[in-house]
Amino acid sequence: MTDIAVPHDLWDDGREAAISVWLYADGDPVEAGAVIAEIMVEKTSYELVAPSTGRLAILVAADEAVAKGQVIGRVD
Amino acid sequence: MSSPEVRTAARRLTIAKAMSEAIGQEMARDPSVLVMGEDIGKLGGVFGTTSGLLDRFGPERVRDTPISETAFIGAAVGLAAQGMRPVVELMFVDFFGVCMDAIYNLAAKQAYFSGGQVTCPMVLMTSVGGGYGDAGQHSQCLYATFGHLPGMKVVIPSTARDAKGLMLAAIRDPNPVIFMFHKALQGMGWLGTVAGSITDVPEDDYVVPIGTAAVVREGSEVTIVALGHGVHQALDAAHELEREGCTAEVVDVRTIAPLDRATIRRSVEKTGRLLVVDDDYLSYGFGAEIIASICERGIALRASPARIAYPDIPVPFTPVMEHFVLPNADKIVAGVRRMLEQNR
Repeated sequence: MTDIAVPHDLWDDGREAAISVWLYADGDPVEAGAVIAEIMVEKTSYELVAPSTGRLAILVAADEAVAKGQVIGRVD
Repeated sequence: MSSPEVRTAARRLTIAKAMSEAIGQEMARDPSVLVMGEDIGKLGGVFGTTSGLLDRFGPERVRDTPISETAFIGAAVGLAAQGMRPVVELMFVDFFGVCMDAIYNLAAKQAYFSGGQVTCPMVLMTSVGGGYGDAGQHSQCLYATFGHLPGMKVVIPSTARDAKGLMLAAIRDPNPVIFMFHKALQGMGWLGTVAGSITDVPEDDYVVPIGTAAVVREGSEVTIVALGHGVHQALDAAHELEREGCTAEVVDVRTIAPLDRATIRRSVEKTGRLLVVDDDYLSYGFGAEIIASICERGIALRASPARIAYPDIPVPFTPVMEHFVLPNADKIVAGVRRMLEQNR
């Protein structure tokens, strides 16, 4: 089981961000390194990759606000 | 995909990313392709259609323009006449009024007026649709407005896979192609992303031929014809109807003009029932054209054909009012039930 956390260096400052889209559904198999979500900071989009191979568990839904370091899902 | 270094695992993209990837691949392959529009450079497009292109290709080929559609779309027509392949973004289709002369009098008629000596290989990509509270001048679809005018091809993808293949086909087409994309399917979050639009997309080069519809779900009781966002609503409705024992066939037209009437006819000949889903204005519209295409051929129907379309009023700003008038899966299910009750 691996946590999916928002990387601290994903964007420069302390601006608020939101998950714009999960590219996989809760329970889908994902592969390490695949882009699984996009996070939007104002109008710029950043990609988030799967930290390991396994089944995706989504803990924070699309459209929700997120902070750096926050765990937003798991790969089981 | 035969090399062991190449990742063979599924790769999911949003329609926004699929469009950017297609444009980028074609720019790398063909030096005559360039992109122009408002906020398409540094920002990567307000709907994500050009992300990463400025960094890869530089400001000569990825040009942010002033807010003057009249100027940069007119410039694109001229560039195309000189052999370039411009891809221009009209941020909202609603703004076509200020640049329509360049589109339908110049671009669309170039090949005809010159006896085929000068064509106009340009792509006009433009966002359509509402559902996120952006009011009457940012939420229209205008499929029929563009589909009505000869000389242009008009396409609209419902999935990322089709978006890439249609974009590559559009850029390579010798004549103008209006590439519509529905905001609800872009994967931009704030516009309300529909999960079904995010699909596996091959990394390599492929084309979805313009003018070909797709049967995206097979069924025998009713044909539901839709486009863009409506395809996903039709699929949701078909899923619901199946629980009631009715299998619905869903046809995604993918191209508004030229319309693939043959695929629609084959489906309706099989099912005997036809319902069209359209988030453009009802009157003189997409639904009317599809239904006429069936009725003119004398195809026997088991129920009167029906339209679930947007009524002939401006799009309301208030979300509760907007969603009351927009098509949705429940309205499609109810429409099919009414047809099944007719028992002709």
